[in-house]
Amino acid sequence: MRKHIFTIFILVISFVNANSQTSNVVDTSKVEILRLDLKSARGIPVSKMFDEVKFIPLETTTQSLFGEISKLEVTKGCYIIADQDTRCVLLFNLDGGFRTKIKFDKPSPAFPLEIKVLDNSNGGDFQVKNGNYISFFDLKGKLIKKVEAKLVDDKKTAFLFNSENILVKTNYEANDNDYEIALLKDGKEIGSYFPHEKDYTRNDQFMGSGVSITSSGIPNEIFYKRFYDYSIYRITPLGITLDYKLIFPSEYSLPLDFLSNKDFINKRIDFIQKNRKVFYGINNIYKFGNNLFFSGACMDLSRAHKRDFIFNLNTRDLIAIQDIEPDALSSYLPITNLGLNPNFFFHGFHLYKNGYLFNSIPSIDMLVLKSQNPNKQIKYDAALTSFFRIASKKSNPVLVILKPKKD
Amino acid sequence: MKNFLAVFLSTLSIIYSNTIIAQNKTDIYGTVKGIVRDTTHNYVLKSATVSVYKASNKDSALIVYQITNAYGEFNFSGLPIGIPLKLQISNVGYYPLDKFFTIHNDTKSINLKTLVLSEKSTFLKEVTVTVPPITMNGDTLEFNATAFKLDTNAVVEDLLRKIPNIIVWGDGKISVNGRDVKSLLVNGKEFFGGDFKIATQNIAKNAIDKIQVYKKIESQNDILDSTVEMNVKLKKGKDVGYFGKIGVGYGSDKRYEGDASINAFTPKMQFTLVGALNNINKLTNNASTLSNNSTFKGVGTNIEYRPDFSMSGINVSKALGSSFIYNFIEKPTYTDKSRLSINYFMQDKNNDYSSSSETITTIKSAVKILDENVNKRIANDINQKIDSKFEWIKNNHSLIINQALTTNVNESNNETFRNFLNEQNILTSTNNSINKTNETARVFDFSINYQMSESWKKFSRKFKGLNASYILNFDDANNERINQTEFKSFTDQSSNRKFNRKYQTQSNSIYQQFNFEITKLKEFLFGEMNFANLDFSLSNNLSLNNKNNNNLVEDFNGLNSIYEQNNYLTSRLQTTILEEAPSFILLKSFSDNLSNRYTRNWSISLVAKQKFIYQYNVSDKAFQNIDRKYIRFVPEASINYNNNQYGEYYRTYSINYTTSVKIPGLQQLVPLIDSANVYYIQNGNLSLKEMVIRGFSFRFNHEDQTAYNTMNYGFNMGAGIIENNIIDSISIGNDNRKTVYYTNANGYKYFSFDGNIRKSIKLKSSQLQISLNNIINISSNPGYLNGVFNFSKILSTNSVLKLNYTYNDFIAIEATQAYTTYTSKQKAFKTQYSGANMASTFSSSYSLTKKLTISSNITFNSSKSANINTINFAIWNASAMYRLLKGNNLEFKFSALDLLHQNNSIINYGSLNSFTTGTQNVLQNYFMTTISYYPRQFGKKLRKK
Repeated sequence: MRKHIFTIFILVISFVNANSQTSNVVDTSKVEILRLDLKSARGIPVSKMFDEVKFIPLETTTQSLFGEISKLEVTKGCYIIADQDTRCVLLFNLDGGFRTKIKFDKPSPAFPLEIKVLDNSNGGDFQVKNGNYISFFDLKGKLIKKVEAKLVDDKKTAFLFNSENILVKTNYEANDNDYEIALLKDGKEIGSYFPHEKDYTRNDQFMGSGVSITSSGIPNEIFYKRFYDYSIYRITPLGITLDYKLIFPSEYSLPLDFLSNKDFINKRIDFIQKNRKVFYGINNIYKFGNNLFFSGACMDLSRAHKRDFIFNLNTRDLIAIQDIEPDALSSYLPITNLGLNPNFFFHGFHLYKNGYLFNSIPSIDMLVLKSQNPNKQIKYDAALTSFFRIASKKSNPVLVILKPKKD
Repeated sequence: MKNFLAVFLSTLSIIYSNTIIAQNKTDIYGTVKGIVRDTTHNYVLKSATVSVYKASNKDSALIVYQITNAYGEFNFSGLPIGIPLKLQISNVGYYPLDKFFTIHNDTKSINLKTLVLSEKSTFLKEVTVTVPPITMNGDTLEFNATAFKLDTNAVVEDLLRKIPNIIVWGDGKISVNGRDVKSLLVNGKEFFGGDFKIATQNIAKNAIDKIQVYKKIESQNDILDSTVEMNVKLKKGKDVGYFGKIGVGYGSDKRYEGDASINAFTPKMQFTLVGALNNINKLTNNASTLSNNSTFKGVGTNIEYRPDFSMSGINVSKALGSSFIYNFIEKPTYTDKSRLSINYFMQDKNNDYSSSSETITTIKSAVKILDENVNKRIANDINQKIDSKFEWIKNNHSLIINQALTTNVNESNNETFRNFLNEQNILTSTNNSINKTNETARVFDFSINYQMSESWKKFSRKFKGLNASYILNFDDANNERINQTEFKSFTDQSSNRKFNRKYQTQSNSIYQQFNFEITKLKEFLFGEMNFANLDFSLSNNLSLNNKNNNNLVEDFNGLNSIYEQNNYLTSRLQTTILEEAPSFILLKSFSDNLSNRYTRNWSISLVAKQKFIYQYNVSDKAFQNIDRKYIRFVPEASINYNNNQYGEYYRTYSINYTTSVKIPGLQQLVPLIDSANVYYIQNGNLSLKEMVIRGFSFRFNHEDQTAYNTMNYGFNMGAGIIENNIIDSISIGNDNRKTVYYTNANGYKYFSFDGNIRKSIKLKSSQLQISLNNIINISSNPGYLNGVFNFSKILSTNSVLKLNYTYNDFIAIEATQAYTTYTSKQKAFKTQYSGANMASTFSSSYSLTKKLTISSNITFNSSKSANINTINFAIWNASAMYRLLKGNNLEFKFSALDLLHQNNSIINYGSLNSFTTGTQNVLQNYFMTTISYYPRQFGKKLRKK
């Protein structure tokens, strides 16, 4: 849980002279400004938002017991799950049956385990980065090889455009400047964006709002968002484009001069703590056809304050994820546990892959949701029936797999 | 005792039958359910408040409320059948919706299906809206005071009692949906010291805007780790006010009491002034207790601040107290606080005490001697204390400055008449003495403590924190005493003595202590090196104590009727003690966390500490000019473990090992022997070594996290040994005079246990709390008696079983059973002393009407020991209280105390090789009438036009 609360990045930044650095220009020519009245957000039945909903209880045994999903991958009939609580990577079959577990040491500092599916299985089916080492495994959990990671390079590599062999790096240092993003091909810089003074990690406060790069759902395109900013950028091998600029009502928005006014330096966290409803950033950005998923990051975690949304770029409807109403497609169960607690806010969707979104609900919440379900006569599928028969509040979480509609 | 058991069992039967009735009634209760929707936005309302009321003209009481679940559904059971009911749904931002219905006996259930709420909109014409009793505002549950119909004199407590799922327990604690409220605030701040009852029994209901209940997240690590906090939000303009009391009482036997208090508050300031005087043994030691006891009391068995019938002697007390709290920040938080509190307390106490006792002492195997002692004491004490505390917290910095000035003026006259008898019961000696003492003493304490802890805003900073403190203690005392003693020996007349000795002692001391600790140094010194997750801190404690003692002792010369200086006992002494203790602290902490299931944390610390002590004495008696050095390794260790199983329990375990050193004082090494202490002649021993005390303690606590009928328990255990324990080597002569010589011996051991268990049970209309506390102390004490080395093995126990029962707001009952025992065995002499005291108390309070309350409490005491016949006596008190005026502000009370006229406080205690029994003068039967007025005002008074 700890790692999901807030990833606090204490960075230093100086905006002075930032624009005078040499950098490539972000393409803002096609930006779409989205004014979002959050109070008008609507509910929608599950079946009108998704084509498929599946609940996959992950088998609980003494061997397979784990805390919660910090990273999820799916490949070749197998879920690969990283869990920080037990410092393990666990492999489950697609039906949730436990396959195997790989235990890792806890290095110091204990960065989260990173998992990555490999396309070419010659060197293993997936890799796990733990501290300074990367280990390669097959889908039976057998270690193929273990190599020392080139720490500095690897830490800052956020994405690889495979076909073009272009690396996307974060916090890139060059020419006595720091760049938030840089594109490199064969080790050579082909683009650098969002410059700052060098070593800008000392004198200011930055409140992270989750992973800064997410999959857009389109090959060779990823989304990027910045600190204290409501813009959605798209990175491609060709450069960075500003796609959407979200504008919220003033009660949810940071002051316009939040980044330029020097009075806020080193007082940003105080401001965020005092203005708990204000979104200090956005995260969980995904796009399915016309549906744009996003969450606002803020300190107010109450149920009344909605933070997770879907905006339909075509109909202009704003849907609150916590108000997506269970129906027959979801066995009359909600697709998140937002009705009970703000857990979802901390991790968002675990993965977006092949048109599917992956969420999970802790067993303790699943049992409550079942007991509260007003449709007492509902017949759950075999997996859920079995889960509800044997599960306790200490059992493993249940995976929720969703296929969003595109329109 | 039989009486007590009868009352106890009948109480249990009432409770039990009440449960049965409640259970039977449940069978004929009905259910109602439905789903709340916002059809405009097309979603269910997940945290809407649904309340069910009775809907008759006569009774519109709130029966029950719920918050809609994750599906927007509510589902009530246990509702009355056949009577009209009203269901009201409210949600922030929506108009409330009322639904009237009656559950019929044939169906027993109603499904209201989907109920649609309308959003408040500027386009809609405003309609008159009644305030819903309960709303969810974010994740805060709010109870709106105006929605509850109560008497005009109602206070917070009366309001809380009207709210289903909130329980005000007999002991003052509050629980919401089964979980204990850990702190109660008023407008976000502690109210007059934080005692719940001050707020719940004094703040008028009509001054309250809302009662807010919310979970306070205790740990950033997991949102399920939380405690419940309650905030009384006052109406706008009502955050300024006062409340207090003025009361007088007079009774038989010239008993009297009077007290007055005023408590005033503004958004930033709280001020109390309180005074009390009585001759009925109602004593307190500080302003806050005095103030707590001098405010309005609601229904309940308020056992505190009763006349203390077990207190020795008769005490006439006058007390005056005041406290002032100022919050420089109106809404303090854990990271932003600035508060000044100042307290003043004065007590002028006259004590009139007399006792008659017998002490049996073992002097050798199967040989016991008897000491008959008659004691009379008249004393006057005037104590004054002014103290202040300033707290300042800003982010990770905290500064606390404390100061206290205490003065004491004491005047006493003590007469003691002692007869000593040998084992054949023949008088061997007598000693009669009169001591007159006048003493003035001043003590000034000052401390300043600065702490810089790890900042989560500056996570990357390598310097993690430090603690620094400075403590100053200054005391100054003047003592004048005249001791007139006449000792007669019937075995050796040459040892007869007669003294008239005057002592004038001036003493002062200055104690200073500097403590400094730099915490978690690993990252600061070694960067990211791991060292197996070990961290370390460095700490240093330095203290310096300078003491001056000037004794002028004079003996009365009967020939010329003047006091002449006693050159031997007159002395000047200056003692300096320097202590230095550097330490290296090794820390390891780790945790095991399974998200949404549990968190377990371990922390281990090992402290390597070296203690250097230097004692230096300068006296005008050459043999006292000594200096001594002590060096000792005093290691410490601790292991702490907590296990938080969310929704089940929170357990803490703690094991501690400590080593401490106690050096012999100059009076143990080279005392000036005062021959006026005929029965106790103390000799010194220059070869005494320092005592080394090694102790283990284990602490366990279980806190129930479930929602209903919680059970909490915990215990502390301690065990230890003392090396080189400084013990008495006592020689008792034929005339029973004791000559004491100090020496070192090993073999002192102790074991202690202190456990408690508390169970709360919520019945349909009543609440029951049961608690059991148990204390056991065992020790093995070495000592020499007439040259024989002996171990005195002592076992003492104290058990208290308490039952607290309240039925609605009509009846409050408290039953207590206390049992204490004492056993002392002298191994070498094969002797044993034992004694036991038992007290069974039954207190009850019953509100006959809203204005009239009768209370009664009776305690059956039984005292027995191996030496005397069992003594039984009972103390029965009863009172009737009638309240008048609109706000119940005026109170008449008639009290009858010790109705059976049996109070006869018994002396019954043991020590290493002796046992004492006897009686002492105590407060006895009286009747009293009191009249009290409780002024209360919240908000400014409105002027009548």
